[in-house]
Amino acid sequence: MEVVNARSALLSNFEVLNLLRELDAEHIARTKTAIRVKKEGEAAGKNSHDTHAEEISENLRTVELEAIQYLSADYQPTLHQSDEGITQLVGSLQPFGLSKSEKLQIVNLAPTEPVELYVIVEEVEDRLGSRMDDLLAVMYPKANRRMVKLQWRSMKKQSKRLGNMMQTQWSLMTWEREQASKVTLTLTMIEDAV
Amino acid sequence: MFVLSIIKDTIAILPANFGVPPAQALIAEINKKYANRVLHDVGLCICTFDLVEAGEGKVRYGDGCLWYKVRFRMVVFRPFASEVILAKVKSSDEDGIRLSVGFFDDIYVPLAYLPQPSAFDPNERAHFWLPDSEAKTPHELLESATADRMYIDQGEVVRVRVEADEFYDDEPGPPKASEGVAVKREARRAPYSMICSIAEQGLGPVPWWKSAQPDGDTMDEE
Repeated sequence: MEVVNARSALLSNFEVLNLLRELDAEHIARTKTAIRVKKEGEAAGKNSHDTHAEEISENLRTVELEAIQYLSADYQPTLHQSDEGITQLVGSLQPFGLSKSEKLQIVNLAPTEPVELYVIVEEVEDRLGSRMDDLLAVMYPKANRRMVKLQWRSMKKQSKRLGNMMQTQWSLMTWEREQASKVTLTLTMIEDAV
Repeated sequence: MFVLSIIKDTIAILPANFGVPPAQALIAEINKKYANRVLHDVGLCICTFDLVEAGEGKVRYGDGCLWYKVRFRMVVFRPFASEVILAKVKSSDEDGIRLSVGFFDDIYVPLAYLPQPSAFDPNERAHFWLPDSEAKTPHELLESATADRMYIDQGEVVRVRVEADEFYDDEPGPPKASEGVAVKREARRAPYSMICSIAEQGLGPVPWWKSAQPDGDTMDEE
């Protein structure tokens, strides 16, 4: 046994999750066919010889299931990621001059706050300075969000000027789940009868 | 967090598995041998990624297995130094905190890597952090108001930075016997353990660093 290269490539959590899920699906499919074949064999009256007893490694199943559980957890962004999303993200991270490991960490952790960027990127202030907001905007097009917020605020001011009492309800659906940056915005205004 | 390692090995396929396509049988054997095991100086092996190349199976004198010389790639869990990961708190004691990522439990945060100033509360069995505190000794810290303390409870999701990892090669020596009674072996150390830190800004329980909603106006976010 010889380790040719202990670290030949880095893998993102998303890739590993997909790989493990494929393995899991194969295992389940195989056990199902094995049970089915066995049942048919018994129904036909033959002595089931256990032709190729394909024992699935216990260790593999354990680590596979636990890793899938960890990677699909709520607090991880991996569940909401997709191939195109990640390629797009890495492409848009290009102009910021980040190292490979920093880009990988951004893909794995999907930071939303500037303080998270401090932790991931070394000397983020010297290197990025004011562009930190741009970097965060790349992940979640908050620019759109801010614009909509401003519009909503100006509308509220207008309505106050009109002297009406209006209750404005604004809901924004989480578009982290969307691949393209589509923002669905519904604005409902409830007029309070005076 | 995960890396690909290229490994070369000689794998035996039992005659019972000759009906299965050799690539599949080889991957199954490799997984049986390596999955969920720690390779010294490599990391925790998760599963086979793919086969790079495999020679012809040769029969050795003495058994009926086909031996293949295989070169394959394996998915290995080994965070690099100063990588930031998310983990759950498994337990806390006087020496520090122990974290877990589900499939791997030996992640420790020793006292030196806790945010200063902090102390261990024996009643809660949890460490806590007192931000902006002047106190120096644990005694003074324990006298602080409970409401000010930022506890690190069990089961909390924390962001940690990996500082170092250690491999311990546990080679069993010949059984020692004195007066015909086998001497008990010492406690086993984990073959692979990680030391992490939560001392910086942005590290520690995730809720600590979540910024509050910026708008005070009524706004519903679904």
